[in-house]
Amino acid sequence: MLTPIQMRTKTKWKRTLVASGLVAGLSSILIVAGCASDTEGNAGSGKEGDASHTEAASNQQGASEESTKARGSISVAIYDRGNIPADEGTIENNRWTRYMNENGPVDVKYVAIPRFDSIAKYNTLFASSSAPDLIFEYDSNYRDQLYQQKQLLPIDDELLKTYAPDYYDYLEQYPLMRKIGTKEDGQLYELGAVGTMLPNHVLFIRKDWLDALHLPIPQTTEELFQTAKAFAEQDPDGNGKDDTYGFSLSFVSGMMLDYMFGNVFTIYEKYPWYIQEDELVHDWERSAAAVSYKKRIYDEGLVDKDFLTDTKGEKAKQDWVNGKLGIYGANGGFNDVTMYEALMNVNPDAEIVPIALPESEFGQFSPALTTPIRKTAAINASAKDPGAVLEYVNFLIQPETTTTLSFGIEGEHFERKENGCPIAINPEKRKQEMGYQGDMNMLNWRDVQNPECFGVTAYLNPDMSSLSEAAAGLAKLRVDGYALYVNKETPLPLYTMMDYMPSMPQDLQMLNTNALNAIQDIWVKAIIGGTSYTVDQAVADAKAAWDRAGGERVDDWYKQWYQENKETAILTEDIYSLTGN
Amino acid sequence: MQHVSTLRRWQRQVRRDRWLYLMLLPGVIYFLIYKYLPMWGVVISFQNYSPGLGLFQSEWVGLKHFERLFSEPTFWMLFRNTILLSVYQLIFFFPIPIVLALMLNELTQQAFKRFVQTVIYIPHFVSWVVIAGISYLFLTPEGGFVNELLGLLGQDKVNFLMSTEWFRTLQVTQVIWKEAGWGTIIFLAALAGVDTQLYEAARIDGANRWRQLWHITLPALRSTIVILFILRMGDIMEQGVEHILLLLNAVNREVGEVFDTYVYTVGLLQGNFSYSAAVGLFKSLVGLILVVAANYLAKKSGEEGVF
Repeated sequence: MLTPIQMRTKTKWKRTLVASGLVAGLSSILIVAGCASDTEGNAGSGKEGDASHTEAASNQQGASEESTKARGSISVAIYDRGNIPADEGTIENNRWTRYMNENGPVDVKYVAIPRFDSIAKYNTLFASSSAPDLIFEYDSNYRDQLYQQKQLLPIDDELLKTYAPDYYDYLEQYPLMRKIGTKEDGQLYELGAVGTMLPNHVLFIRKDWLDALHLPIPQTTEELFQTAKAFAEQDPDGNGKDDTYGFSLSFVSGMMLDYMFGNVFTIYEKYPWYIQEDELVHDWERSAAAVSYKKRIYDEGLVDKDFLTDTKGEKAKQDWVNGKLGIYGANGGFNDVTMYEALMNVNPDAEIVPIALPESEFGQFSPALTTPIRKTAAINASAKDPGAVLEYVNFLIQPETTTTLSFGIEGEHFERKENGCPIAINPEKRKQEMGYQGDMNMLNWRDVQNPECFGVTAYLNPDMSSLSEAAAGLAKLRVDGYALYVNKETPLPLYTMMDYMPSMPQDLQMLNTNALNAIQDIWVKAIIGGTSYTVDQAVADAKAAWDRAGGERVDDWYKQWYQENKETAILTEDIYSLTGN
Repeated sequence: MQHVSTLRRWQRQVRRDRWLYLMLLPGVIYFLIYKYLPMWGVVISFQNYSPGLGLFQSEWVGLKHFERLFSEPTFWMLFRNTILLSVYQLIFFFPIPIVLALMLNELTQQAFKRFVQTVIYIPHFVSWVVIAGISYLFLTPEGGFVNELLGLLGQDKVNFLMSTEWFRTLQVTQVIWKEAGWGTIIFLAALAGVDTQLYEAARIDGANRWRQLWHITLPALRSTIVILFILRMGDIMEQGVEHILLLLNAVNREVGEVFDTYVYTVGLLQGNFSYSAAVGLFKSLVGLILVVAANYLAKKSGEEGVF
């Protein structure tokens, strides 16, 4: 939707064009240019965008009253996880997108973004100037990249007050939210929500296998190795065949081994800087220890040797569900009811428990947790109508919207318990009709709005009666899991969570990404390299690659950032007291 | 006066052939809009392009991105990998459709010939994802067919998919499997055009099958082979990006990363649109130079070129 000013500019352009009588092909370039200069006005500063928008609003109000402002029209990103049932429609058009259009303040066109290929998709859309107005993306690095490339709109306070007053109030109430959404230039770019820190990655073990082999739960890295060895070699499922793996190196399982050694150099996160004696230093020993360990279990044949082709952990998950894998790192393990259900169907006698990460020489750590105060959204710099985008944001954070997107329609999908908390009427129906739209709710403040029904309280006191058998089984495990993982004694090995990390200048960031990717390849080669490529050699090669790329500049930058910001930055030790945990 | 009359004549010709020109128009417009207009996009390789600013507001940086490409430590690795894969394909893949076409041409049973043709065309329609999947099932060290066989023969298992040694072999073999049959089409078409009287005459002169092949069939194919070779030179910097991405992993990246996958990584994954456009432009330039050179050489040696 164009504001009158933009319309005027555009018609003027068109007139110039007609007058100059250029050939058809050339003119289309100029029209594009006209549009680009329009959006530039908005992108340049929030104030300007705001001014034109307000003017537009007042123009349209004209003689009539305030409430008759024309309905805005925006586009919004939605993750596509490929899990929508066929009779529910598509991820871009289903009962919930229609609900949002019928009940929300603006017309919304949803743009599907493949969940695990989101960056390539976003970049394609941005390059062709067709990215959605409201961007949802979990990856802080990527949002940061967009900021560096000036593709995000600074969100002005006046604009917020006018179009998203409730979000503005939250910012006043939770200054940390504003702080983490503010970039180096002092302006607010990212939107998010205050939530709760809960387990995310879960290390599961087959308790029935441990019992069958009379083994205790492994407490140290060495015990874990022995357990994995026993699982792989002593036929824990008793089928007389040598067809079990002890562990897995792919995706989250591999990350578990890294975190165990306090090594934040995984396939997903590469932040090998740690606070040591009041300095933020680049450490190589943790990586070396983790790589040696992986190499050892690889050489012993305790894992599927094809882990490199299993980058998303699908094969490992399949082995786990089919009862071929004894220890497994599960992504969002306590929420993955499908996984649990499938596992119990195939192996009715299976008993799984979450275990703490075994202790290593670097200490004991927790696997990845959810971010308590998180950033999930930003506005595209070329959004035509930032006001309308914020109106949608304001609608999203309303308790009613959040409840609907979490539980569905009252009376149809959920009813209320005595304490007023929603409870699903029919878990099957809920799974069918609500199992796919969770990502519409990435901007929910329900833990804050309704701590009785959401957040830690609800997490630790699941209402078993409303859950399917599998979901109830899994919910029982999460209570133990919470105690194991969310505590300051076994902290996250990261110096801080990704959402709270500073953003590097663009040239450093590129250097950093390329060098760390090259080093990642070196680690992998060391794991599968047998005797011909030792870990010591790999460490030497990795350090050389880092130096050659100019990595010292990155190390210095981190060091300096830490010295300048250690008092005010949110560091890992602070995270545990941020919210109601 | 001279000038005016030329103009007149031109006008007269245009008027005379106006319907032909009109019929030409859609084609010209198509090329202008879909081929020439987008070419302006290459200007972003001389800018620090930011989609938020657009083509006209982005900052001009001259040859900065090209300088960066040539000083990148990975540049020679990319160059070597790309050229080597192309050269291997030229040596091992390029002759195969020719040989296949010659063999098919010798078949006398028409029904059998057509059957074989259909069968060897089919792999062309199988997507790279499926081919990568099939290769995986055959080659994985965890119960893959080839490794099981090696095990039975008392050999050590080979991790084909995760090795630097096997990458190029694997890539070229897959290309041969997929495209060799399809590549015969153009040669078979050329062979169909050979005058049968030539063969008759040769037989009367006492030429056997081999002699006929050497003196009639191959010379008839020569210009087709040369033209395809010239076109192939233009593609020397191109590798199927989807195909290679499916084969790449941390271990074989040093032999497998080519310009096309590099463009994908820096452009689409890291969002450096200008830099990746510069890489693409460099690639195209090399291709253009090679085509022109090959064409020149072909003409020099008495063959018909592409242009």
